[in-house]
Amino acid sequence: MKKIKSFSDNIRRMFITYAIIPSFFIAFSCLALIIGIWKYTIKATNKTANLKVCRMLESDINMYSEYLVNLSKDETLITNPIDTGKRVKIMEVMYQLHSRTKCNADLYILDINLNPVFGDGALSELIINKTLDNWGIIREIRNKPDQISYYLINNKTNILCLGAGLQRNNELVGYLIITLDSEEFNILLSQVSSDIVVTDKNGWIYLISNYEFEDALGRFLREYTYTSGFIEYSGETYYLSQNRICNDMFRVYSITNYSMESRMFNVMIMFILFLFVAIIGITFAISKKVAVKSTRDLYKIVEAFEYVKKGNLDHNLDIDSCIEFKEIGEAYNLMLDGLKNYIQENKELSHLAAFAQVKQLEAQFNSHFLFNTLDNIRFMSKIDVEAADKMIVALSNLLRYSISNAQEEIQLKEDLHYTESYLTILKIRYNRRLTYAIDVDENIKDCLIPKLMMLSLIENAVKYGYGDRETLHVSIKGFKKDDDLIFICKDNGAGIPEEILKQIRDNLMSPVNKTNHHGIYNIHRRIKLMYHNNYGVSIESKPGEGTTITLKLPYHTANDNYVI
Amino acid sequence: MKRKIGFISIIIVAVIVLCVFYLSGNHKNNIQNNESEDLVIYSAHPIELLRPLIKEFESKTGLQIKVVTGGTGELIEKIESEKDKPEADILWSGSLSTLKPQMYLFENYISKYEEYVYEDFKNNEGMLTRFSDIPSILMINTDLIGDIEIKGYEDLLNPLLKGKIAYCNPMVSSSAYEHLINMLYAMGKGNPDNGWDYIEKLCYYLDGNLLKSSTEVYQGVANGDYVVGLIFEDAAAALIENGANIDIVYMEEGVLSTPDCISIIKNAAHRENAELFVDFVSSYEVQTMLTAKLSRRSVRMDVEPPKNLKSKEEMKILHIDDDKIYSMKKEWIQKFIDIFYSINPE
Repeated sequence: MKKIKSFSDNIRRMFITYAIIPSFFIAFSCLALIIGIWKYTIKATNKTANLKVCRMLESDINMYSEYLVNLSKDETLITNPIDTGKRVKIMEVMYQLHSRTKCNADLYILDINLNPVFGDGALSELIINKTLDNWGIIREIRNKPDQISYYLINNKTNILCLGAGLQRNNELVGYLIITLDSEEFNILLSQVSSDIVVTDKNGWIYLISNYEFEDALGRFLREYTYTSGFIEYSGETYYLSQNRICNDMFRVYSITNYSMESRMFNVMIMFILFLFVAIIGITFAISKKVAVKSTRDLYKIVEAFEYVKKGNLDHNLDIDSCIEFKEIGEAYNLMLDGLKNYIQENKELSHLAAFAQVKQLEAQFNSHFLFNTLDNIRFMSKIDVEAADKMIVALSNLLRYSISNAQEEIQLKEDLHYTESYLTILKIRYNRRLTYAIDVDENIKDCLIPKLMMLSLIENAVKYGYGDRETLHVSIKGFKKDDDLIFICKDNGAGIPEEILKQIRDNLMSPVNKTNHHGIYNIHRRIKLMYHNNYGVSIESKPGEGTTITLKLPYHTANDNYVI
Repeated sequence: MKRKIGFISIIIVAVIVLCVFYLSGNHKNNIQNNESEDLVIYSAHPIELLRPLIKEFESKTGLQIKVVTGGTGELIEKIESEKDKPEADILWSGSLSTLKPQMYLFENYISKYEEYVYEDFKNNEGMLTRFSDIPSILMINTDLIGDIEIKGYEDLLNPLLKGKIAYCNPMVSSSAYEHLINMLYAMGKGNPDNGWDYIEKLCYYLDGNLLKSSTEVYQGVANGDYVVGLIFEDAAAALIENGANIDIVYMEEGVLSTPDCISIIKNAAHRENAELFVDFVSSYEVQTMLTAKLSRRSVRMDVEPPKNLKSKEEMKILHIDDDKIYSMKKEWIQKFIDIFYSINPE
């Protein structure tokens, strides 16, 4: 089931869903992208540096190695003394190699007893003792005289020894050694952006540009087996790549420190997360306020409609914050004015209609009565002229009364006065066949009642009461009950058959008279039109026993200002 | 509404994935703890000695050696505490008199070159292979000594040298312990019990300085913090080799020259490699290196004595009662400490 949320909730949700989360997501993605690119750059530059060092180092070592191999084929270096020409030739090549490799090397040629035949310099590092032929580079050459041997001397500077054996008839007769001081490669190390460590296969360092990675003995860190990738070392983060050169005799590590940047990125990520949380918090806190502010006019409109719902049409909308709502407000005001006018007109119209109908009903009564009375007068004028004269006077009184007074309502006592005139007429007409009694409380004689109403009651009773009877007694009782006036008109006449009674009762509910029984219907209709509500006529009757008609009217006098 | 929830959850999942990706990127599985060292050595030898020898051994055998350095006393304590699960395979340092009382920590092994070793330096105990022969000496900073003439222990009792004598706690350093024995025998004229008078006087001239390792002694003298140091010959000779202004004085009252040893630790994890290493350091090559490059005296008969060091014939060598020393070791050290702190209250 969908829960209907408040406008401010919707705004808050929309804000978070469509503004904050996407922007956070975009920020995060951008950061991730930057980190990715940056990591890739680190890897790439690191690998480039590594490859550069590998290439240079390997080519230098290989050039000198090739020369060693060439020299090792010349056994005459040992068997015959080296004359000046040979010495010059050797030195020429060494100078060439130097200019090609940009690194200086020393060549030593030793006989089998470790006596130097060629070269001097740092020989003491190389040959500890003439008897020590199972040590260092000499041992390496002795183990495999027909190959290039490598040995690192780690002392104040690191010296790389390349060695080859001089053989005659597969027997070792001398040693060829080229030494490369690590200082020769300092320029190379300074040319690349990463820290470089070059070690032999056991991890002993030849070249190093950051001593952080050297242990006390001069070996590359041994706590871990390093391949390529990101590593943590003594609280710092590095990218390390590794390559092997010279038939796996040397390892080249390039190491890039990126702790600083890594910390920076971590801070940035934390910052973005914090920002995100803070923005969500702030949004929750202020979105309600913002929503209330921006929807104040909406609530004004809602309030206006609440008034209308309660029936108050006098509340006008006054909005001038924005065009859209102003339009709505103006339209609402216009609509409300129109509605009020319409209601007013409608009220007047219905009032007029009711008035017209009342007039018409009165008119019906008049003609009806007039016809009966005139008929009587014609009749009486033949029997009793005096009585006829009396009747004519009474009738003319009545007629004047009914047409003279334009007012719908009249005081009870006045109406009773004219009722007397009417009864006079009836008394002459029916003589002893009609008796009547009028009993109206004194305290209601000032009350206003519809004009000619009593008259109509008596008329109705006389009209239907006789049936086949000789005499008829009509009594009218009037009193106040609560805030109502009650009139009870009772006769002891023939009564009304059940069927017809039912018809009359049904007819009373209908706005149009569908029967020929005008009297009761007209009284009821007049009361209804004048007073509405539950005022009107009720009728009880039993065939042979009589009829009781009860009128219920609002109690009011001329001073009460009763609204019709 | 459902689509919206889906959309938001996709974003959240994406963000989490990114986070995880980013964080995991730092810790790729490209480093593993390297527990593959083939031999672990505890040693008090200086780096200058360790470096060429270990380099040569690794190069020769391809084995990877882990070296833990520290004072001899400290290393022995460590071995003692690791008795049940030894972390090291070899103790490569310590004078004979220091190690003898702790022989139970070591394994029997006779090097394959034992036949070449001088009679005095034979591994009679079974577990203490002699590595080199080290006299105790006085090392002097020639820049600072001035006109003071030092020929032996007696010359140290000079008011001008008060607080300028570097001596280490014999409890932690074997060189200091050797010197203690040397002093007791030399100054007691052959009877160590008579040597304590001299010790009391010396403690006064130490002026509260009792160093914590032999390294502090030779570095202290070389740096000029002290003028005279009581130390082994090799440390001073190495400094001289490196051009420091240091002089070695062999005490005229008598010089105690004891071998230092190499021993395989009991229940060593790399027993075979340890034996290889003991053979290696006893070999002609290493012993030649010792005399030719490392200013040490070899224990092998076939190796020439070092050219730059005074020959043993020229000094007054003390001959002492080994068994007495071993039985008195703890007592003497304690007595020294008591004397030192009674004269130099903390």
